[in-house]
Amino acid sequence: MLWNEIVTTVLLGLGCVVSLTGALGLLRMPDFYTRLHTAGKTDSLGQFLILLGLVFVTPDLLTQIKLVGVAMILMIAAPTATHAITKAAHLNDLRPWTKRDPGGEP
Amino acid sequence: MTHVLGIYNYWIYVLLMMIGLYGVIAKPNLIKQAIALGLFQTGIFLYYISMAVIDDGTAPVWFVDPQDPGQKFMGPYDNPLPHVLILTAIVVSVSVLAVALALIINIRRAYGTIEADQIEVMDQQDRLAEFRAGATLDAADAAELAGVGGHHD
Amino acid sequence: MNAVVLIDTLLLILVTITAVAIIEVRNLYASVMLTSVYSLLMALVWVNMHSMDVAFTEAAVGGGISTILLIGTLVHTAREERPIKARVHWKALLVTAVTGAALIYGTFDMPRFGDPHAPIHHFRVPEMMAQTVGFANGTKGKQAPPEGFDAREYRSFNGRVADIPDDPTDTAWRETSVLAQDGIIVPKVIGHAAHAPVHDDAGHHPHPADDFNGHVPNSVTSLLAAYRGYDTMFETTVIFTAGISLIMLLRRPRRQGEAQVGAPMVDQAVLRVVTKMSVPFILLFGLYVITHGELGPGGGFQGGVVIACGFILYALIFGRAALYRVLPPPVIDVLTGLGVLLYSGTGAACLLLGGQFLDYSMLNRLSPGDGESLGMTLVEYGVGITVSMVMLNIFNQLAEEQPT
Repeated sequence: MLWNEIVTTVLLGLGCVVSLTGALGLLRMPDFYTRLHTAGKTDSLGQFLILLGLVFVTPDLLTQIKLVGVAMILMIAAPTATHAITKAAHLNDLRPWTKRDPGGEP
Repeated sequence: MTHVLGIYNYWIYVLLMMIGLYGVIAKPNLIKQAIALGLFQTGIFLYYISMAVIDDGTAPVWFVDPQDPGQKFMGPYDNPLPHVLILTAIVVSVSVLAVALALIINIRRAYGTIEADQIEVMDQQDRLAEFRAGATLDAADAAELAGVGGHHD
Repeated sequence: MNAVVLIDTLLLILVTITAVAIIEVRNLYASVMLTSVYSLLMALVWVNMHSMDVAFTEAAVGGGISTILLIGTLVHTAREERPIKARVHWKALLVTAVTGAALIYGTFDMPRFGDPHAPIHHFRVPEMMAQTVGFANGTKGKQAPPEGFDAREYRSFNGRVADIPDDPTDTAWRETSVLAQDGIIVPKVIGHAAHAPVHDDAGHHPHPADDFNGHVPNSVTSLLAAYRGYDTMFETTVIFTAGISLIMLLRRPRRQGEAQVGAPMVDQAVLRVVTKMSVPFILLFGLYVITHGELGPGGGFQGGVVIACGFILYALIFGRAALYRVLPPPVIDVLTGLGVLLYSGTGAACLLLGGQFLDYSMLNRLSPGDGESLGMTLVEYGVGITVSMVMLNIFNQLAEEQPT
């Protein structure tokens, strides 16, 4: 395999691992805030790794620039969306889960 | 058996359509019915576009090969006409959804509820109250009343 | 079993699970969010089937506008569905089972997925894709060709002639045409003549021959705007009618002192900064999508929805008062109709220039392909303006109501 295919494989694999842990966290985490934390990783880091991995196997320059552009835009927009959701929950008095007080949110 | 392997994807689309249809019939909540109608429509879109797909096809966009002048396709291309029709259909479906939701808001203002069975009960009670208050019956109501007196529905 | 069907099956399993969840979940907000997820998955299915324009439209319209409409409605109606006694509605299940069985019985006659010998790929597709406009088409109302124009050479490529007759009932050419001689029956159109462009002045880029698709590489857009031009015009009218219906259904006469504009989010620094940075690019991207629709996936509907989403984001963060300074409601109302007027006006202009209604090749006498391209751009702008303003109007109506 050529070097760019190896790099792509590694980056795509890492991106899939991040997405998978994000999905697992969505199911297993005890609280809204922790669930959002893991899901936000998928949105920001997972997509960045996957799109960056795709850059190395794209034949022409314009598509590569577009892929990097999309990754950058999502890198700005996705954490903002996560922030907005978390702030909305906080402003609605959603208490986080603590070990002593597990009554925040199932 | 090989024929089934080639067409089982159509059965999944039929399943999606039927899930949407079940939602429209079975759920009394009006917003659920509007959403389920959208599900039914997307099932139909899937059916249409799956007919346009061809083996090893590409998207139906011409391209210009610098070595070989003139626009052409690389090889087999998907039939673009169903794509055109479904583009229209998607936008029409969202228009239908918008008008349906506006009607639901007005129904909520008028009846205070968006459950279809409760609305039906309230409508019947309205008509019964009108009749008891001595309102004149129109021709359809009089015929119905005469029919009720004769036999049970 | 090709790869498309395999990925299709995997995605459709997810789609079916999401569909069942949408129907069964009691909380309506959860149902709406699942609808948004469903639209995203459906867009992935379309991409898998190589239908980029449809995927773009589904993602923008289903994932964006539908969700906004539904949440805007949920604010004024219930939050949860009333619990019903019976878990499964047996009569509905029976009806859907019978209907489903009948439909599945019907699918036994369908060709297999992706079959290149299916009738849909043979009936009119080669003629439609190789259809020429302007000089060589021979239909009434088309302009006369210039001197020395050779229709046969116009339709040939590399010395091979793809002579497709204008009469649709004459199908004998299929047996002897180069398409059949190549040994494949798939509609692989050979190409177009690469003769010298009609006008060769400086600054004008050389282009291939003026075919129906000659200047418009995205055949979906060209079919949408030209082959099915009436269809698209009345669809724009449908969107316009939806906007009018919303106005009639929801607009209340405003009483004095009842300025119901949303408050700007002054304390949300992150959201304000990111929105202020993003909105210009979103609007620019919307314009790009409308204009680039002829060259790649895109077009009027998708671009119009993106522009509407840009304005809606601005209204959500900075308050509707700020939006009304940029786009006062009378301007939104006027622009809604202006898009439809632009579309039908282009058609009428072609009529006045001597052709038929929506015959865009009349717009440019010297090079009818350029005329077709110009006409398609104009109508896509018409569609984009109407769609964006109607979506914005709907958002304003839904956001303005007093929560009941």
